Amino acid sequence: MRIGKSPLVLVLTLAALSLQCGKKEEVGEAPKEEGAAPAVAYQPTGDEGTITGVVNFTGQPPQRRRIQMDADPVCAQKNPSALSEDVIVNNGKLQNVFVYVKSGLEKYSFSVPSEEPVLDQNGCMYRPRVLGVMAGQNLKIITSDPTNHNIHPTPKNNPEWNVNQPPGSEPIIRSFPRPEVMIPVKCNQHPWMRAYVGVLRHPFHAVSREDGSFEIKGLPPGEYEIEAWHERYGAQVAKVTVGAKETKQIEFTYAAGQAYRPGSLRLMPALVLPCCEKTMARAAK
Amino acid sequence: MPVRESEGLYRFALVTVGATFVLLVLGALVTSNEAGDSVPDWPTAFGRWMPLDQIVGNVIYEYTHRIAAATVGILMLVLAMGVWWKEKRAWVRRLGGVALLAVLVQAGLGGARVLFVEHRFALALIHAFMGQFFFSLVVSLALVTSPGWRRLEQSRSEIHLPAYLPRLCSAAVVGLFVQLLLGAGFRHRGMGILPHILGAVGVSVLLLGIIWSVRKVAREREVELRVLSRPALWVAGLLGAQLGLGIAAYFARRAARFDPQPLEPMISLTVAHVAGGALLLAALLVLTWRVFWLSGMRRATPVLQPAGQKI
Repeated sequence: MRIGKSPLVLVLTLAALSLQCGKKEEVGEAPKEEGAAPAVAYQPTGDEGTITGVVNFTGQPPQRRRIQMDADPVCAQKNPSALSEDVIVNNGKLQNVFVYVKSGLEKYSFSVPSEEPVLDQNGCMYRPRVLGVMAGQNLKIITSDPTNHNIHPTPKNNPEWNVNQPPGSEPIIRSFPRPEVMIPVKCNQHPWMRAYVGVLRHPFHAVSREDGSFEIKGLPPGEYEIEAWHERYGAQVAKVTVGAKETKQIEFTYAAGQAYRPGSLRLMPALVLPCCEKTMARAAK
Repeated sequence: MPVRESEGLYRFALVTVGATFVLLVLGALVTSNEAGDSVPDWPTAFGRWMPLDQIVGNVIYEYTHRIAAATVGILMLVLAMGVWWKEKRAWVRRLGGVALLAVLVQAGLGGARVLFVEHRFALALIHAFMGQFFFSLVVSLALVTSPGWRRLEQSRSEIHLPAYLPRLCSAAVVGLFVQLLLGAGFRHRGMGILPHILGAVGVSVLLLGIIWSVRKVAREREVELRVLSRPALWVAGLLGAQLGLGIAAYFARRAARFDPQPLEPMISLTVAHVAGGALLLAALLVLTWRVFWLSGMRRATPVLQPAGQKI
């Protein structure tokens, strides 16, 4: 009976396609747009401006769910009343929105800061949940928990890795070489643990605080597209012109009904593998 | 080999089938609990063989899956050796060898899935497929070493089956494997649900065609085709259950899309759907093997059974 041969051929073909699609580009300099003038290293002039703002939330926010940490007694003991953190709204203001300069800085390059943002695992939750780094900037991952964790970022344009961090171990220092907004980070041992890292080619980003406010300082005067990104409500863009030593205020507003459907539950585009989206977008272009 | 002599081998093959089914269920639990990368190293776990103090949270699913996989590997090795020594049919010995090779490849794929995280989707897909493919090989081994199969081989009974039936069964087996792949693609969040829904429609049409054909043959030829109608009945029942479970699992997943972690009933429904897929594959394989055997016999001695006689 000649069963099994055809499915094997199919699976190998799919695997080859998927492996090809999943292939990450060579790690190195951030990709530059074709025909773009070479970026010059930015030197502060004292004319830099500031963007401040707030992220509003209208409508009834979803109720925060209790996280069941019973699978790891250490977590349950340390953080007995943990709540979901994907949507945190205080007095109509949305927390944990990543706000960054999406465009307007292409003509400049920026040196990578030596400071290392810290991602802590505390109470079996990531602290902070949302953070930004520059491409190539070190990220310091520490654990304050007396239990095991694994740290597993799942980027699309950066190398993926998965490392175990037992309690009391040395910090893990890693960096992401290519810009990418956003990289989900998860702990597969504690599946409720989620964090998001925004990797940029410049240092101009902020994360909305408990009161929904944010501030981006030190911007060269110019016209910018500012994007706000939220893990559940998606992205919004605002255009703003910042003059010399000027402080501009902008607002973003999310509505309760805007929650998007996770990719895996979409009906269409059904045949597009997420790993191939970039390749297909390029082909379409 | 006399019927009674092969029973030991058959029973051991059945044990291996059972263990492999449990392994498939444990694998589904790993995926549904998002535990696939909870242990970042392989073949050791956190650098040790027995990291009992580090089995917390989701690690229990991944580690149990590994222990079960090792058990199935050992069972398959013993079964392959038994088949090699006891079996006189060369093609059954070869089948045992292929199954042993498949379990070794599957173990390697499981390891690669852990170690090469950048290719986790493709490797998870192949790993899920190979799991079902290995299961189908073990089911086939259990079937062809069973006393029932021996009796079928030794029987001179013959029926005329439509020429399209073996082809229809082959198409259904291929279709079901493709469908299992599409399901794995959706479960591993690599693709949307639409291909899996279309696959379900296609496979259902093929399976209903087979069931209808078996009933038609039995009616037209006035024979009681237990050897085919029983597995066909299983296929019909499992197909209905699978469709129901699939719909329930999808809506449970939709309802749980904003849950902070995998929760019930999404986990149980998804795992039951995967298990149902394996059982449906097993029933279809039994039916397909028998259809092929009876179709082959027809060429030798065409004898039509009188009405009511059981085959």
